[in-house]
Amino acid sequence: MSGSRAVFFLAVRDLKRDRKIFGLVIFLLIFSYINLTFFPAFLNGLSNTFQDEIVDTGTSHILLQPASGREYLDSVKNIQQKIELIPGVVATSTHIGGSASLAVDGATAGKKPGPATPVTSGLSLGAQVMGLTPSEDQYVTPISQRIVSGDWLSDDDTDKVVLGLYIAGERLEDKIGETTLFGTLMEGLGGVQPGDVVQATFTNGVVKNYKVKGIVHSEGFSFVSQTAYFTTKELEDVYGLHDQASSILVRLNDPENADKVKTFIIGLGIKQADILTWKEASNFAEGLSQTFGIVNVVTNIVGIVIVLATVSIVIFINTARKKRIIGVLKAIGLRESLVLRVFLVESLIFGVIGSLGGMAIMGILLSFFKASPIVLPIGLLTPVVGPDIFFGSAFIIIFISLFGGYFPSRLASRADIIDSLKVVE
Amino acid sequence: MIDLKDVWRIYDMGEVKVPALQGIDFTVKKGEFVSVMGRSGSGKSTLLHIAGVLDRQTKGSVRIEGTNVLTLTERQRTLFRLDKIGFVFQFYSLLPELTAVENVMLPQLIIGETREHAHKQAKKVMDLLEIGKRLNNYPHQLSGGEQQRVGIARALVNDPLILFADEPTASLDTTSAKIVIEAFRKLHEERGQTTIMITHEEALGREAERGVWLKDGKIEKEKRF
Ligand SMILES: Nc1ncnc2c1ncn2[C@@H]1O[C@H](COP(=O)(O)OP(=O)(O)OP(=O)(O)O)[C@@H](O)[C@H]1O
Ligand SMILES: [Mg+2]
Repeated sequence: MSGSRAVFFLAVRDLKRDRKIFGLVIFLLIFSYINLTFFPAFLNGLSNTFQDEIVDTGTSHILLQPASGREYLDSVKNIQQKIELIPGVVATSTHIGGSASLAVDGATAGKKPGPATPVTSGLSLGAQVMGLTPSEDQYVTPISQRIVSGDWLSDDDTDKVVLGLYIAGERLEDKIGETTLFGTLMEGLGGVQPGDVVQATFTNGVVKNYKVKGIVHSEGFSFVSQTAYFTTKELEDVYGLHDQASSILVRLNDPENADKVKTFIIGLGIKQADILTWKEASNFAEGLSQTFGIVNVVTNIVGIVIVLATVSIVIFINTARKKRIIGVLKAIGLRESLVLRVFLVESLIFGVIGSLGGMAIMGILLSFFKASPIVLPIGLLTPVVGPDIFFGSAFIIIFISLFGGYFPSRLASRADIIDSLKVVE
Repeated sequence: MIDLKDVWRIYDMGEVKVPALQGIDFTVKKGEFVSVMGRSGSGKSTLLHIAGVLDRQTKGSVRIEGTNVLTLTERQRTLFRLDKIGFVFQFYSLLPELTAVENVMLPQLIIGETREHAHKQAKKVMDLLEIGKRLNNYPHQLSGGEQQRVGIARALVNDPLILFADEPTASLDTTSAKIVIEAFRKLHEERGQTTIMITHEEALGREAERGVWLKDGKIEKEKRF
């Protein structure tokens, strides 16, 4: 025997009667849904922004590196030519990496670029150096666009360097009244400017003076601001390299094709090289999401407890007010299990409408931010959620509405009939 | 139809035991209209609850149509009420969010009837009780007498064997009370409805076929009118 007609009928009518409470609960559920989804969406967006910058400036879409035990890739021109013929490849760029000690003091100031004797006083620091060919790199990385003062390198520059902002440093007098990224002054080389001369001592013992041509800076977690850039020509000379590189970066027209193109590159049979897609090369963003994920869990638990409490209080008040009517219904033959179901259906309706409303509003928010991303110092942030979080949160809202409604409903359905009938309103 | 033998109901209040019914023998035949009278606290409601399968006796036997209702599970008792018993309560028993006809339809929906069928049945009993014009009014739009007749219609819609009413007129003025009692009489006369009605007022109790007076949980006297 069914009583589901009566159950649904009673539940819907009951909710319709208390429109204000109904509206309030729905509002809270929608709010909770957004609470559950927006923070992860924001984090995803943040990871993407970070990852984009790392991929753009550090790894590009496919990265070729020397196999372990080797320092350089050989015959890079040939490799580049072959890779550039693969469909979907936009361009390739070689990078020569290394490290050097950079120094500046009164003695270097005004001195000419070129081979030099080491300076003994003043500021110095160890830095990552990178050699690239500006004319080919401009199609692969946006490093050249990160110039904040001076100019970017040209292919033939040999006595010039472009410094990352954290190497160049900042002068106190330039920074008065400003806060830097971490609230402190980046000392670096004490505020070197384009036109100044710095001295580089390479790990192989070569010492040379360079004229600073420009300063680059990126707000993201990339290495741009911590790297000193030279031309390929210059570093080949310094390290005594020929047609060799520490890495080859491959830019694609669609990053999602990385796996396919990687297979092609492997097919080329390049010896002594590791080939990584951007996903493999930059697992940084993943770690970031995991870290923030813990924060997320905490806020989610708070949100879930709020929903649980709200729904159970509302159902509790609702059933307490209806004690006599519940007694009457049971007296005329509504089984305990059906009384329970009436209130569970109400909880379910709360959950379903709340999560549908939440998904609708979240959808609107997401498309709004897609059209006009949030502007952060590190770049543009577009919140994104995967279907797992989008629908998973809806499921959570429905589940906790039911769960929150269950105990007060059961309490109400079990009340003694005679006691209930004695209630006078 | 209803057969109570030596029925006791003792409320166990821990230290004190309140004997609300003390050895009641009470029989109602099919088609009878019985009124139960007596002072406040004499045990009228308790008797009605036990005979109406809402409460269980402490001692004695209760048979309805031969069924020993004490042996039924809680679920079976609920189904028994739904199928065989109609209750009219003293006050405020209609669901305020439902219209008159929807209130009356409810027991039909609970037994699984379609809305159309339930509506048809509800209208039939409401016509009989002369409230067929107030189908779509909400309870708060009805007079006390009309509300009580909606309550009677709801008790009747599943065509119960027995109709129980606990002071159905107590919250009504004299005129409305008369109309409601008239309704019970009419049901009895036209449909042969077995009815047990509690009332404070002897004048109203006399409208029944037979009166039973309770005193201190015992039957004091019985009388045919
Ligand atoms: N749940 C209960 N617990 C303890 N005692 C109860 C309970 N219900 C009723 N009683 C007692 O049982 C006795 C009979 O009560 P009952 O409600 O049957 O009287 P009544 O004749 O219906 O009175 P009234 O005319 O006031 O409705 C009273 O003494 C009452 O106090
Ligand atoms: Mg009573």
